Amino acid sequence: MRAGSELYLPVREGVYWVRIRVPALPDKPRRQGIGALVAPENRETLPTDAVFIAGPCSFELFWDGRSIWRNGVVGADPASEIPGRLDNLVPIPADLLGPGGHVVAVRISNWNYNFSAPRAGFYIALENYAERLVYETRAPILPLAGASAAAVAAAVCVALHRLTDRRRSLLVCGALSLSVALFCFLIAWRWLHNDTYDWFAPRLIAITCTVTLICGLQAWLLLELFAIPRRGRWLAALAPLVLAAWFSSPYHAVIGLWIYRSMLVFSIVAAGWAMWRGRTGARWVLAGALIGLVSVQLGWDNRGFVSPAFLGAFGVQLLGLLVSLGVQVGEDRRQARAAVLTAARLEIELLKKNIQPHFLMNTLTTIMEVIEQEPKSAVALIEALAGEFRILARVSAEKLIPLGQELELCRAHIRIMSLRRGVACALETEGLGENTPVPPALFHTLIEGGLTHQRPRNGELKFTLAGEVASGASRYTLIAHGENPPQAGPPPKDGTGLRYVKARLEESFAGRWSLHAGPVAEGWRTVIEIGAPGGKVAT
Amino acid sequence: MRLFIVEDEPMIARRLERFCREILGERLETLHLATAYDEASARLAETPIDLLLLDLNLNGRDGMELLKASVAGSFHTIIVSANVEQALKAFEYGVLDFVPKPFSQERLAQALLRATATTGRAAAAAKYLAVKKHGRVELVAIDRIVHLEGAGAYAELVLDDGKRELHDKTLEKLHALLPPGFERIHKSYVVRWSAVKALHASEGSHYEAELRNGTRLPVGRTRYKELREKLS
Repeated sequence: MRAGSELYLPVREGVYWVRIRVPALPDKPRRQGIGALVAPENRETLPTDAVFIAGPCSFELFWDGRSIWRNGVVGADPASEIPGRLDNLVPIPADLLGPGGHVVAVRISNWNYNFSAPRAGFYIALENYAERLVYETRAPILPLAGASAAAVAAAVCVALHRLTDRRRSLLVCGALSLSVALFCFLIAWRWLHNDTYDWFAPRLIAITCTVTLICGLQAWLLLELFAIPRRGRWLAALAPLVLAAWFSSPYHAVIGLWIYRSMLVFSIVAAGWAMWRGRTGARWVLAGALIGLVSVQLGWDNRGFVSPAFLGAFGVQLLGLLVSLGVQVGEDRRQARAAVLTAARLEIELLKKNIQPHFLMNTLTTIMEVIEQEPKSAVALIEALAGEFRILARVSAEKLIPLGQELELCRAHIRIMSLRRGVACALETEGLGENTPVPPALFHTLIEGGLTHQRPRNGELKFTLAGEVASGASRYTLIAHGENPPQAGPPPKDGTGLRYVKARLEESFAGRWSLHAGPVAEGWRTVIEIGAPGGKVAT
Repeated sequence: MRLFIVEDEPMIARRLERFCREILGERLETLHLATAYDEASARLAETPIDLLLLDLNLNGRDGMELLKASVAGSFHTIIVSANVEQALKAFEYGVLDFVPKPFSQERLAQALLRATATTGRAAAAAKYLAVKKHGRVELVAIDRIVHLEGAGAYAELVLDDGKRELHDKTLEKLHALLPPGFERIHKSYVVRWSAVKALHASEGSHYEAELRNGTRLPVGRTRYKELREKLS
C-alpha cells in the first residue's frame, strides 16, 4: 500500500492491522493558493515529519515497529474499545526519520462505526507537521464564513419581515438562511471540536437532515416567491427525488449530493416556469441554480460536504434567491408607492370633477338666473349643491364607501341636474345592499355622463340601477333611459369619466372586474361585474 | 340683428335670451335657440345670422369644430362658456369675445357692443382666419396676410405668396378681428401697415399706397393725411 491515499477498511470486524511500506521519505511540496497556478515553478518543498490520519476508528500507530501514537483504545469487542478522534496529526520522532525505507503499521478497531455501510474511509498521508497544522486550522474558515453570512441573511429577513414587509416569503427565506447557517456550522464543527469517531455518524445524519430541510424550505420559498399554483403537485414531484436520494447510498456525502441535485433541478424547473409566466426576479433564481448545478457537477470532489464547490454552489444559489426576493420587495414597494399616488390622483380627480368649470360655473349661472327669476327655487338648488359637496368631502379620501352613501351622492347630483336642465330626472334602484362597498363616485360618474350625453325621453331622464350578488361576485346594471345622441364615425375613446370609473375599479378590485357599456333600446346600459376575491372576471 | 344662441342648458339659454332682448331692444330682428350640436350645425348652414352666441360644451361634445365652422361664416361669434382655458384658442380662431360663465347682464352687453358698434374690435386679436374651402374649413395664419380687399358681402385675403383666399365675412367684420397692425386705407382695403413702403399722391386726388412687394393699393382721400403722418 502507498501512503497518502484513501483506503476503504472493513468495519466491525474485530482488531486488524494495516501495513504500509514507505520506500523513502519524500519532501512535501508546500501547499499554495491561487498564486501557485500563476507561478508553479516557484514551489517550495518542506521535509516530511508527520503522519496525518483521518478515519472513523480507534487505532495504534507503529513506525518501524515502535508505537508512536494511540487514538482511543483499540478493543477486541465494543465494550473494550474506547473511540478515538476522527482526525490525527502525528509527529514522527526525529530518530525514526532516517533515510531509506520505513514501515508504517496501524492496529485498528471500529466497533463504534454507526453507519450501515460495510466499509469506512481511512485517509493516511505523510505530511510536514507545521504546514498540516496550518491547513487544518484554516479549513473551517470557509464554512464558518458561510454560516456567518447565512445567519446575517436570516436576521435581515426576519428584521425586514418584522419592521417593513409582512410577506411570508421573507420568513421562509429567513428559515432557509438559518438552515444554511446550521449546515455550514455542522461542517465546520469537525475542525472546531474534533469529535470522537462514534459521533461521526450522528453529525453526518444531522447534516443530511439539514440538507433535506434546506431542500424543502427552498421549494416552499420558490412556490411562495413566485406564487406558483397547485403547490401540492410540485411538492409531490420533489418528494420522491429526495426520498430516492436518501436510499441512493450508505454514504451521507453522496445522499447529500443527490438531495442537492434534486433541489437544483426543482429550482431550475420552478424558476423557468416563473420566468415563462413573467414573475419578477425569476431570472436571478434560475441563474443561481444553473451556476450551482454546473459548480457541483464540475467541482465535486472526495471531500464531500466540505468541498468548496458544494459550499460555493450553496452560496450562489442562496444569493440568487435573496436577490430575487430583494427585487420583488423593491418592485412591490414601487407598486405600493404607485398605488398611493393613484389613490391620491383619484381623490384629486374626484374633487376636480365636481369643481370643474363646466359643472360648477353652469350651476352658478343657473343659480344666478334662478335668484333673479324664482328666488324660492334658488334655495333648493343651493341646498342640493351644498348636499352634494358635503357628501363628496366625506367620501373623497376613501377607497371604498357603502353603496348607500354612493346612492345618496347620486341622488344629490340628480336633484341639481333636474333643476338645471328643467327635466324630471330620477334614480330607481333594485336589489342593492346598502352596505356593499363600492369605490366613491362610481355610479355618480356614470350617471353624470348619462345626464350630460343622454337626451330626455318624454320630458324625463330616468336611471335604473339593479344589483345581483352571488357567491361573493356582484353584477350592477345601470340603464340611462333616454335618447342616445346620434353617433357618427368610429366609437369615441373613453372619456375622463369612464377612465376614472375604470381606474377606481382597478384600484379596489385589481384584475377581477369588467365593464361593458353600449346602447340598448331603453337608452344606454352599463354593466359592471366584480368577481369574488381570488376569482377573475374576463374583461 | 339676427341672433342665434347655442346653449344646452335651458335655464342659461333662457338667461341669455332675456339679457339679449333687454340689451338689443328693437335692434333684435330674430332670435333662435339650439340646444344640441347637430341642430346648431343644421341651422347655421341654412339660416343667415349676424351674431352667434356659442357654448363650447354641448351635451358633453367639444364645440371647437362648431367654432371653427362658425368663425368661417359671415357672422360674428361670441363664446359664452365655463371653460375659460379655451378662451385663448377661441380668440386665436377669430371670435369677437369670450364671456365666461357665470355672467352678468353688463358683461354680456359689453360683448354685444363689440358686435353692434361700427368700430368695435375683438377683445383679443385672432391668430388665424378660418376660410371655407372645398366644403372644408381651413385656417389661414394672420401673419401671412399682406392685405384684404372687400368684395361686397365677402372679403379676399391676399397672402405673402400672392395667393388669394375668399372669406365669407365682410371687410368690416374681418378688420374687427385683426390685430392693431392692420390699417383700413380705403373703404375696400385693409393693409398690414408694416408692408407699406410709401404713399403716393397723383393728379386728380388719386392716392396710392405702395407695398414692399410692389403692389399699389388705392388710399381713401379722407384717410391719406392721417396715414401720411403715421408713415412719417
